[in-house]
Order: sequence, then C-alpha cells, then structure tokens
Amino acid sequence: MNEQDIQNLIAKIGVAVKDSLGDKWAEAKTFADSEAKKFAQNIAEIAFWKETGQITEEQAKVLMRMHQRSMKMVLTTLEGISLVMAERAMNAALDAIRGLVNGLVGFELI
Amino acid sequence: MLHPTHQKNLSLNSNIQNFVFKWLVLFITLSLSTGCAFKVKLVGQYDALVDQSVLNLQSETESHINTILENSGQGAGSYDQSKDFYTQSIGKVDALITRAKVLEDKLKRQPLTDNFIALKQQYEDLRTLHKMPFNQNAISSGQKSMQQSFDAIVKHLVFLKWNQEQPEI
Repeated sequence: MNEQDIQNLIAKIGVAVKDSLGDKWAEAKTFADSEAKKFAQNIAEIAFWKETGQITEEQAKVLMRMHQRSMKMVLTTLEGISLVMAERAMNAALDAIRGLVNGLVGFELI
Repeated sequence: MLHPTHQKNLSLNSNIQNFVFKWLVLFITLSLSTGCAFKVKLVGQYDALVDQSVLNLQSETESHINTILENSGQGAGSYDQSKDFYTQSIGKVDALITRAKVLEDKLKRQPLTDNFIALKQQYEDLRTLHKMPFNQNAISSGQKSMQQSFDAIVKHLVFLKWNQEQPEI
C-alpha cells in the first residue's frame, strides 16, 4: 500500500461519510436550536409567575422539574440522532475500506 | 540519488504501511472467520408499532389536558374524574419501555428507553400538578412540557425510520 492508496482511501471515506449523512445534521441542529429556545422561554415564564404570585412555590417546583426533564429528553434524542449518524458514517467508511482491500488483494476477501 | 536520511525515512514509512496493511488483512480475515458481518451497530431498529403508540398517547394526552383547561379543573377536567387516565397512560408508557428495551437490547447507549422512562416521570409530575388547586398558567405550562417530551421522542423515531429507509451500506 503506497501513499497514493492511502490518500485515495481517505478521500473515499470522506465522500462515503458525507453522502451517508446528507442534510440530516442541519435538520438536527434546527431542532436543537428551536427546543432550546422554547425551554428558555418556559423557564422565564415560570420564574415570572412565581415572582408575581401567579403560581405557588410547589407548582413552580413541579413545573421546573418537568421542563428540565423535557429539555433533557431533547438532548437524549440528539444523542440518539448522533448515534444514527455515527452508525451510518462508520459503516460507509468501512464499506470504502472493503472496496480498497479487495482491490489490493485482487479478490473479494471481504 | 537520495540523501541517506531520506532513503531511510522512505524505507521506514514503507515498512510501517506494510505492517499496518498486514494486520488489517489479518483482522478482517479473523472477523470473517468468526462470522462477524464487519458492520457497526449503534442504534435499535425502527418500530412502526412504537411510533403509532406514541402518536396515539400524545393525542390522548393533549385531549386530556385541553379538557382540564376548558373546564378549569372542574367536572370532566377534575383530578377525581381523571385518575383512570393517569393509570392507563402510565401503563401504556410501561409497555413502551419494555418494547424499547427489546429494540435497544445489548446496545451501549439506549436513548429511546431512557426517554420513555423520562416520559413516565412526566406523567407522574403532571398528575401531581393536576392534584393541586387548579391554575391555568401551571396546567398550560405542564402541557408545553408534555408537548416537548413527545416532540423529542417523535423526532428520534423519525430519524430511526429514515435510517431504516436508506439503502443498506
């Protein structure tokens, strides 16, 4: 395996990974930004209501807990989405490696 | 003619590359001989039944909370007349937790299962909120949190479905 083979492999992996992900990262980012904004607004609302006596302390505590939890669920979903992306990218890269290895050995080893 | 140092470096690089290549071929051969498919698996399968169950539960929950708000926590919107809703909803989430555990079995990370466990806790807090004296702001805010919870789970399922629909690599 020479330097050119390695450069070819790196380029193939890069293309394979990019093709496997498409626009999905942008979609995940938009979702994350939108949910983070909602969380901030909801928390501010609860704090305001508590300060102005529109909700009790007990209600404020339960609501804060609920909103923190739902925001954590958003982050957990982003973790899940990242895992989907990582799986696709890794398998695309492995597929690119498979092609190169078979080419180098001259038969379908894998 | 190359400088001796350059000649030595080229030879060393070539040896390293050959070494790496040999180990790569050995690893791949061993993987094949042990029946390894040489694919990475980090996520569970998409399940249409889970997807539909989540959508149904989301719809029922929205409807329940709207009933509380429309009736100002009285009559049909009171906690007393809603006890069954909480019991049944939590039971449905328990079934989703069980299903998610199967789908994510043996995976290092189990985000779908984690989120269903969190959803169960959301219902318990919503029930706590409902038991308190009625407050329009509090229930509306709880509704928003439940919506965000469901949106998060649905988004994850959408990505799992997309993943399943892509050509296999």
